[in-house]
Amino acid sequence: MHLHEVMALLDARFVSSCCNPTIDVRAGFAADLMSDALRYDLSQALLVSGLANPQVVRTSEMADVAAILMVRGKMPSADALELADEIDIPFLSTELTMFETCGRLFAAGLPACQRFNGR
Amino acid sequence: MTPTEVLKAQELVYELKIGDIMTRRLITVSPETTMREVKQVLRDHRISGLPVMRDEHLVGIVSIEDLIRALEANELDAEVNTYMSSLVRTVGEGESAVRALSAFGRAGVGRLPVVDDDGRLVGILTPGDITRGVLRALERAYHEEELRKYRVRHVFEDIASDRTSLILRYDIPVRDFNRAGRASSQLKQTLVRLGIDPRIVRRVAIVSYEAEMNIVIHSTTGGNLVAEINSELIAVLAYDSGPGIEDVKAAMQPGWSTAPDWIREMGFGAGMGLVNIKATADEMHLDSWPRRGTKLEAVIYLKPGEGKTGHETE
Repeated sequence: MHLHEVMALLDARFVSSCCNPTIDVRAGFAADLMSDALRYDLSQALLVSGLANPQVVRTSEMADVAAILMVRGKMPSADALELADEIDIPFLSTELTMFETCGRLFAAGLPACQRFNGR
Repeated sequence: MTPTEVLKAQELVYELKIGDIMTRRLITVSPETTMREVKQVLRDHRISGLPVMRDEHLVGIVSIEDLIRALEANELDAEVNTYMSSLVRTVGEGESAVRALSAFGRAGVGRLPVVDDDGRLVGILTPGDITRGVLRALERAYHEEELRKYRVRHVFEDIASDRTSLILRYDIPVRDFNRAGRASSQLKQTLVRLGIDPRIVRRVAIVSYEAEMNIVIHSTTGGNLVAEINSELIAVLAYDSGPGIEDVKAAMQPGWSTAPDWIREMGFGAGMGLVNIKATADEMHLDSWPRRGTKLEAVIYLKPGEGKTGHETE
């Protein structure tokens, strides 16, 4: 699903300088605790979070996340935005709640991220 | 082109400024020029349209289509102002090339006059300029990254020994949440430049980041992160000198955490860090001595078959 489709579905907008709406997200994951997120394969995925600090960006960098979406109209902190620009990752924001955001994305066909193979 | 390269090309279109790719050599005519002269100018310069200027102000665009209309009406001696389009859409030289692309699509024109911040005509842009600009930028970006990778790989090839390893050491300060993750970020960039498989890079990055965050959150005086890279594996070693883990077995249980609420509010302390490391790495050893410190070593093999690569569905 392209970011412009995500934006239309959720009435979301870009808050970062990286604002390429043609970026494709393969799957979605929602979490506020970053270690919960890192248990899953987030590569090329959309990370939905209510967490607005630099660590959500670092986590995304490590896991090759394609784009970050803030819910409940939150704005990322200045530090978080600076880091997002540094590593060139798009940051979006929507007024919707996490529940409704995920529901709309899933209903529109965006699949969930799968778990890393654990032993 | 691979999908990644296509994505890179799309990004470049967004980064490219119109001013960087437009044609600056401006050939213009005045509203009183005849269409016959326009025909000559278009032919001499092998172009398909011209800005029309009066006293340094853009008043219109005359194109080959306008010339055809004049020819059909047998009015080659008519003045440009009777045939030109005077409702001229312009783009700013500081705007992104993508703005111009959508303007071409909407307006159905083959060229757009480019103006500076004061509205003065500074160039002209055609779809061909955008294509050329993207190709040039793509080539530049490709060469820069290839050159970097080439240099790093050669370091390994030019050193003769029975076993060569590259060791990267990082100091991890305690409770510095703004810089937390910097070491893992630098390690990840290095691995990418070494040309290591992106899936392996991602696994090392996750292991290293979880270990780094553990030191940032829990250590008394900070700690160290060391990565050893050789032709077979990448080993990540994280150690600190206290406070140590009281119950190592409990710490390995999913969801077990000693992190205070304020750490959880920052998105950490889910009690999944060590669990994630164990699941992501091929091997993991954790030793801890209460009040003396903790040492964690995780290994990821570079060769397929030796490591874990698949994913399972939840």
